[in-house]
Amino acid sequence: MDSTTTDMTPVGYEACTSLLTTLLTSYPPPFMFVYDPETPRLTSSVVRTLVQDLKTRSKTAGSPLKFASAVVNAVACFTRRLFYDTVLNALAEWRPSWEDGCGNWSGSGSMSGQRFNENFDAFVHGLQAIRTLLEHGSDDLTTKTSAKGKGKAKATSNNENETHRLIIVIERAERLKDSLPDLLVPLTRLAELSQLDVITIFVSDVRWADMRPSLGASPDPYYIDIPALSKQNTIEIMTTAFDTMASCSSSSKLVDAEAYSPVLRSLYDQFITTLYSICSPFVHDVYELMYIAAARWPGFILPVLEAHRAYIEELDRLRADGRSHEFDSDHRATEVSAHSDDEMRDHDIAGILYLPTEDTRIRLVRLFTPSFTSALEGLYPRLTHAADWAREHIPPANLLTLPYTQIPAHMSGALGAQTTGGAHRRDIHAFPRTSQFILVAAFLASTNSPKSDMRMFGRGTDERAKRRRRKGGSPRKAREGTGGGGIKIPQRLLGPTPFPVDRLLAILGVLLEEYDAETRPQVPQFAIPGEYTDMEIARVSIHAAIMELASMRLLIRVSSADRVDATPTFKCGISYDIALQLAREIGIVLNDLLWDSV
Amino acid sequence: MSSIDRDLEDPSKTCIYIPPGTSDEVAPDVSPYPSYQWRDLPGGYELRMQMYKLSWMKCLGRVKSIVRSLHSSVAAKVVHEVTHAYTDILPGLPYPELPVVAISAEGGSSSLYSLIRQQFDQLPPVVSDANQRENAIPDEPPRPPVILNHLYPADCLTLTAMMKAIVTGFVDQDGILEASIKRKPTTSLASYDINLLAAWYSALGYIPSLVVFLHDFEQFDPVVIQDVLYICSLSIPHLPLVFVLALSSPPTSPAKPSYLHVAYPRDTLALLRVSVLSAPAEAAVVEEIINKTFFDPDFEPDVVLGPAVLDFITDFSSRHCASIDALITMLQLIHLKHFTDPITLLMHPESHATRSRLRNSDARPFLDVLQARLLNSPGSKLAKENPLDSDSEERLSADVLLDAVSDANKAFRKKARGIRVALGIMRIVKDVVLGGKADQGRQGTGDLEMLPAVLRGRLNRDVRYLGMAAKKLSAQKLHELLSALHAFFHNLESAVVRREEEHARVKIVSLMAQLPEPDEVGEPPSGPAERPPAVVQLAADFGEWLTDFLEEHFVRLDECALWDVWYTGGTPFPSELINPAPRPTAVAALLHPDDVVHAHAELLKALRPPSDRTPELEPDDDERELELWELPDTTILFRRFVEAGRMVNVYDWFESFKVVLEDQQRHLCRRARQREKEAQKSQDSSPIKARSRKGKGKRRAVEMDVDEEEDPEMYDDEEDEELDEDEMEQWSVEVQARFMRALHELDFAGFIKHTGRKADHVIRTIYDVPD
Repeated sequence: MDSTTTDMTPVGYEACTSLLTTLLTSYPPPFMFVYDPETPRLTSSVVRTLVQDLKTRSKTAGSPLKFASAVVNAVACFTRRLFYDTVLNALAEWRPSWEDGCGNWSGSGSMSGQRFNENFDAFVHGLQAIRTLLEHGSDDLTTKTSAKGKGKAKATSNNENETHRLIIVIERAERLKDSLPDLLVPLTRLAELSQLDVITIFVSDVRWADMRPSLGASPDPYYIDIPALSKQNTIEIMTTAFDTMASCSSSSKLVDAEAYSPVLRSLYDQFITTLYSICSPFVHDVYELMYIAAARWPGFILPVLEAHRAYIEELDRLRADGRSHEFDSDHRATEVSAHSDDEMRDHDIAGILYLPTEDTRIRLVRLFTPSFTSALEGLYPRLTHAADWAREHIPPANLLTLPYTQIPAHMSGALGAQTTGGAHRRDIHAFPRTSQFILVAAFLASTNSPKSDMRMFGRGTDERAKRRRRKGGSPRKAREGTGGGGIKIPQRLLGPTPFPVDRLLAILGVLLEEYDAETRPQVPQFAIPGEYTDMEIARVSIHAAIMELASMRLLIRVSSADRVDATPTFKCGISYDIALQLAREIGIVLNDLLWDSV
Repeated sequence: MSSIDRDLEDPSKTCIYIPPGTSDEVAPDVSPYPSYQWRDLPGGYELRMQMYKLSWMKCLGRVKSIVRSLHSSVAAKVVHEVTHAYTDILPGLPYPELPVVAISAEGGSSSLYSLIRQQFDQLPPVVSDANQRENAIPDEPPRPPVILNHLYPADCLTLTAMMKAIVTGFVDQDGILEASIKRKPTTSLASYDINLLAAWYSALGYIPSLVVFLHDFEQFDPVVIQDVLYICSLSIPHLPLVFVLALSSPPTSPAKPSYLHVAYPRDTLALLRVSVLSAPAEAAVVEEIINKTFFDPDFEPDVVLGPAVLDFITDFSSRHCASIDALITMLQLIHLKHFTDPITLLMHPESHATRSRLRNSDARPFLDVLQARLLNSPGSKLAKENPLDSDSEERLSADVLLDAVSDANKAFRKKARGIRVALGIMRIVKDVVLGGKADQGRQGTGDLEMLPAVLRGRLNRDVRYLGMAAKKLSAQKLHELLSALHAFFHNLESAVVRREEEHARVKIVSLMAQLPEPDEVGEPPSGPAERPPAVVQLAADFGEWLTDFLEEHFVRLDECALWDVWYTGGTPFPSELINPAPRPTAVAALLHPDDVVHAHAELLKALRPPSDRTPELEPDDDERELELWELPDTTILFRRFVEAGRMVNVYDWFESFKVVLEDQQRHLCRRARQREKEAQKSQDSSPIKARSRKGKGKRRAVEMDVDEEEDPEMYDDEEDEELDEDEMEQWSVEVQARFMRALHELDFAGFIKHTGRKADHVIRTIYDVPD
């Protein structure tokens, strides 16, 4: 599945692959558990390759031990039937075809037409049927040649000494516990139940102890713990990927055709080493580092390629002028990528890409180092994707010839490219005013406790002045000091609490009355103070705005939408920072209205 | 009544409708907009609605085309992203990524999605390769390069359901594979198995993109979506799936470029290649639509918006909801309202239909009104040509009047065009002259907010300021400005406008010719102080011309003759229609039913011809606050409800209601007796007088109650206590029935909620009732 996985085992995995191979080819425990918390994806692909490898080798080498394997993903096999179908089809190497009505493998020869996906018993029967198929594979050869995907049959012979071993690898096995809990125990004892030579391998990033069924229903597995990749191994895996890239010529418009030229391999090594040293404090995952490398390398190598092209052009021009033999060294000195001396003259004349000098390389690395951090910041949380990032961070032309002061700012690591958005961009700040008020009111309703509402928002009828809590002298604090209970964590940090829509409207009313009354168009018929606001918060558009915000998940509806007669309750879906920004925009000092002010 | 009786007798009926009040008051035949009736044509309403339809369609077509052009770039980007999702991949990635296109557009923006769909449909089909498939039949099914599958949150509540929807959405599509092959449900792949999709895909024989459109993406369960994305990412790239997510939420912060980044964990995001596309912000779209539809020199709307409705639109879109749909609804309402006025029949005075209709004899009253207006309006030509007194009895013929209307129309249209052109020029000048400052200002006050001022003719200061600023322009800026203006005049599409503004164009051209080339001048950037005198002279000339031009063009449209035919002027927007407050209205009506009844009566009064109106209402009667017993049952009950706590004990409620009813009963008896006496005493007093004593609002209440009693005269103050047992029983049954009816009415309106916890109690649903 993974494009970069080659037949060879990645470095750092030799120990566990040899262990697995030895076990599988000799006397394996029936249930193994491969645990890798760091790079489960890589480990899965290693196991997959290994099993595949064993199978093909056993087929060709004529060894007495034959393998049939199924590698399934516990997320993809989310129902029992799906699991049975996938495993049996894979073991039998059966590919359902559309023309045949997508039938599953249904037994071989005379026993065909059976259904194996009904329950676990049927599945065990299916496994036994597969074994029969493997043993009598050659018998079916004559009858089943037309059937697609029955390649297994061809390879096996009638040798009585052959043993057939079934391997079932389950990736992301931790999901079995949730999706197929009643399969977990039988799968771990599959060999016992089916009386077959079948090995179950779980691959997971969760410990067996965390997913083990209760009451000791499952036997303990044979544990294989994958150690974390060392620095050296990580770098090596990343650099070997370069060879794969170099061998398969890709014609993407995003990348220069020569970016993965084998000549540049040692520069790539240097690039990867720098990248690793910068990013490894934050990310260990080799795939993440490769992702960042893939995004940065095309831009990194571009100045070198450009300089080279310019040089070739220059050369051609001079040749055309008939002065190529006079091509002097001082002209070359102006070229940034001035080369080492001897062998390069040949390259010059042939126009072949060569490795830049050490100076140039150091210069390149120094120029691009700040952008590694920005790549990490933008790409690790996937704020943007690699192709886009690469496109946005193409270095300026002739970067290597520019003096240092003219290096554009985005090269020095600022996240400038992402934050630039036109004024007409859709943004939360472009919301209508009422929606902004509703969001702030929702934040207050979710953060303040309902008991505090009267103090925070209650306004006396006689004095219109705000009764705001004095900082520091609240009764709550006094109680806290004397009571000696646990430290109260501010609600802001505990997450939003649900509130009924009436409370939201009441708080919204207070906010509108105090912060919005002046900006409203004048309506003469409302003479009593507060009457206008009362009318405004009952209007249809307010309710429509609440529902729209709920549909955007900026307000999260807690109560079920089906119950019409109940008061709907909501939770606030925006963070403190956004609430603060919105509040500032509409002129509210948010901290003054928070019970647990920051 | 008989039908109700029959229904009541019928045991099979579970629900019977008893109409409120008595049905003896026949509702008058309500014709729309009665207040205009006296100056309307017979059948004028239908004619105007036809006119409305034409005008509105013209306006709507324009709006739609603007919206389409605003959305087309986003739609094209989406199509590009989808079609190139698997062809242009960055090399060196550790694993293939699932392409996801997240479109952030407002929820109701269906036009964008239909546009995207349309663009997908327009993609050229894949040409079947004859070499590859030798048995290719000539009339094989079409091969779209993109196969779409639309999913909605309701289909995707669980993982199984969603996977099934994805798989069957493609597999069961008609017309892609020739014949669907019968699958056995038990022994073939499950319908939610992605391998089924893979088998189908490999049978297709070519490689289209499979696009899964997730509408209302925020409503999907993130847990389900996570797994679906994971499963789909396992089968790429041999199944080229592309997900298109229709988001309605905008990005909340730079750290969260889309909802996807808010709701989904990093390891799901790491599987995806998310391209976030954003539709233009709604506020900008609204501004663009208003500007391009009503203030674009190249488009002439039938109805010109007045400052009052523009104010409303600006306020509503900045305050409540800046959506295209809301704007279209508002514009339609404005059009509808505008065409309620009979005079708008003259929208197109040249049209043949209008002319022939007005030549009919029954159009005479309409024409009379028109004649009076034309003769009185100072701007009208007719008034100048016929210096008759307006009270002269001479009736001008329909054609003469219509010609005058035509002239007025032409004059009005010309002025309106002038305003639009001047506005365009003003914008250009502002952009160039004020440059960065204008941009800064725009963020605070939108361009929309300038428009009402333009129409109210309150722009003199701005115009003078611009003129002053133009006078101080440097040669280079002046050059830039003049060429921009020249381009503006040059690009005017409408021939009429070009002809009308010929003078201005000539002026600009001549100014340009006089202006020395900026590089010839070689002007230092130090400032306008060192401008060569020729430039100073030119700039001054231009500034003066600009001020004159703008002042000449910015005129008030409501000074034209018959302006209200084509211009909404100061008519306010009927905002209650679009943004009502239902609950306070219902509460107010319950608390003060007399006001509502009064308003209704006013409406009915307006319906009747003046001769038919009876001066039955005395104003002083309405001023008086009605006693509780005078109110209808529901209001009495509601008043008591308002005074209760959170929960209402139904029995207490009933008791208090009963007390009021008994009070009412006493009053009614006393009044009946009094009336009888009076009637006997003064036979000669007019019946009208007698009727008028009853307050109107009160009458409604009383009538309703009185009708249900058999004989009010039986009761007397003295006899009150002496009711016999039968009557007492009957009375208590009646009180109960009235209570139940009123209670159900409140229940039906949603003011009470039943509680299962406490017997005989109901919960209030509203608390803060103003009184």
